Amino acid sequence: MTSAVPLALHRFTLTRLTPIVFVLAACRPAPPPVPVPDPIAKGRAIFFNETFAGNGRTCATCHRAEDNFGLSPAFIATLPPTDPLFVAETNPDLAQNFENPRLMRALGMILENQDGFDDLANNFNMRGIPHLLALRTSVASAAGPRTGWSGDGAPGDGSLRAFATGAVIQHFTKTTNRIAGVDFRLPTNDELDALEAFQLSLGRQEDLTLPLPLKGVVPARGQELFRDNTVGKCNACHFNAGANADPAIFGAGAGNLNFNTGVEDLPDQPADLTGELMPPDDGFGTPGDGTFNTPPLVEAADTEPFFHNNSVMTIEGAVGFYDGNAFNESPAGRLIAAATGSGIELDATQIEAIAAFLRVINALENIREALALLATPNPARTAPSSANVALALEETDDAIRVLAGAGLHRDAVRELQTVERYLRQGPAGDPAPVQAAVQALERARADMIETP
Amino acid sequence: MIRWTTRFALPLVASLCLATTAQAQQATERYIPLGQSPGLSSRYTYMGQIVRIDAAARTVTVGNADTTRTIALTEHTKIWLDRSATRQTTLIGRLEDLQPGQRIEIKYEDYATKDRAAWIKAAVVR
Ligand code: HEC
Ligand code: HEC
Repeated sequence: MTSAVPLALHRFTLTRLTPIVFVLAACRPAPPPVPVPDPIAKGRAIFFNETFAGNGRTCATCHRAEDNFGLSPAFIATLPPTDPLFVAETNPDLAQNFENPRLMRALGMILENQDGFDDLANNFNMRGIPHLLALRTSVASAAGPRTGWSGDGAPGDGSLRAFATGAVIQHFTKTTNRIAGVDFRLPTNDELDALEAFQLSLGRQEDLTLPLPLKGVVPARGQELFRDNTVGKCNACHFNAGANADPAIFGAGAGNLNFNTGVEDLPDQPADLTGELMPPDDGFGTPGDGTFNTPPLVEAADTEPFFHNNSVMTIEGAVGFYDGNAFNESPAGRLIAAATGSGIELDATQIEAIAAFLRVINALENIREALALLATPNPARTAPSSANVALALEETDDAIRVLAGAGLHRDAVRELQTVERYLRQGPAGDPAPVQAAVQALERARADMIETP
Repeated sequence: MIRWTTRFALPLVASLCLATTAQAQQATERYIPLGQSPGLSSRYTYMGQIVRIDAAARTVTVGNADTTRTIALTEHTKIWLDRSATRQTTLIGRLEDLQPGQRIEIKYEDYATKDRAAWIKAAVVR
């Protein structure tokens, strides 16, 4: 977390300067300030508002700012029936072969035709909606950009920039004919640039450097187990709890790799238990090679359900996956056994310790993000915009949820509850409660980690 | 203590991650009209008109103002019939559907050799 502080400060000073420049410009009788093109702001507007002349969905229909730019079944349950997420229920042209409303509502699953659009009734995958945080750290690999759960989500050059074009074709269409210029319009080059800039601005901008000086004994032990290549072995693929592979094992610049960890082989997956058609998901490529792309773990604890098929609801369950047969008999599990002399074997206390570590680094990231949001002033005033305050509240709420969910850091939880009270209080634009909230966020952080 | 070493790392890299580009064109590519593939068109693809088709050799010869190229189809080459000009959906095509004079866009399987097609989009205007 130490490295995150200067970043937040940097953002703070930059955004602080903007209004000063405006004020200075306003004092002079000279020409009005030339508007500086801001691709992030442009991208944000497109992301939240642009329907691309399609079925009414926007990117934010599935990637909600209030839900970590992802979408969980819990959040879906709060949406009105008219929400464009549910177009398959409201638009007769999309009633067949577009979504599975039952799996969407129960498990947050979205239909994707990764392996082609030639047999819509049978050839599809049901996948969870990933968060879009920390994309700057989780796309590049030595073999090219890796987007989506299987790393091959984008058409064109396969980049994050091109991903939006594929998303429009898959999710925005008015009919399953998917005719450009009729069922939707494709994003322009400028729109792709802006969307990319906006998405890259979301969340963490750089990887952590482990080990962190954690104060809680259980999370600290969890960090050791996570990093220990004879026990947890997690750090090999999720280096520094991010999405990239350990360069000491996989080579410098290996980046964000794909593995077949056997998630598809989990028995009794909730989606399968519904009896709905769930064709096997073969991962990267067509036909697929069974591999999926490594997601970052700092952002994991508050973005359940887990894995590409939303098959696991709790972070403890997701850690426990690595102790099971599905993983240890998978291609990745076998190679780890061959390389280290044993598979991954974790007892209940160790599973909870690793999960506690993941909960704490998630809460620390929530606090970093909340502080960054509160440090960004409304251009006209000295306090953050009400939109930023609302998002800071969401972050604080997530931090409380992930810590309290496992009885961790009760003092920090109390401070975070104070933060919520301050942020709910006072007229929008009043800096006093915001300052008090910032101090309480810092106290909550100091309860979890040694701060310089 | 058992440690991961470079010796162990090599088979891991070879077997677990993807070293090659594979057949990874995303399925949504099909519905992107000629010349509009993000990051590819006008940089890494080849646009031109079909000069000749050799069904036996499974090659198409394509020309534009700059060059004429003969490009082979492999068992993986996808052919898409782009009918967006007439507001109809894109169909999956075969070599037999292509005709001399037709405007096409080709993505190479290997940009360095430019000899095999990963996909071909052919404009259908009627
Ligand atoms: C109907 C829901 C839905 C809509 C609308 C939607 N997405 Fe997604 N998004 C998903 C799903 C599901 C995935 C996982 C796809 C996969 O595995 O390839 C995803 C994955 C992504 C990813 C990959 C993230 C990663 O970690 O690699 C990006 C980037 C993304 N979406 C951006 C967008 C953009 C930009 C838009 C708007 C143009 C958009 N999405 C609209 C559901 C949606
Ligand atoms: C061989 C590489 C590898 C190792 C070792 C590994 N992971 Fe993973 N991890 C992955 C991949 C790949 C995925 C995505 C799998 C999928 O969705 O099918 C993943 C997914 C996850 C997820 C779900 C994240 C989300 O957002 O849904 C969690 C949590 C996780 N891993 C934790 C761990 C922990 C804890 C360990 C150590 C006990 C570990 N991983 C070891 C490769 C690995």
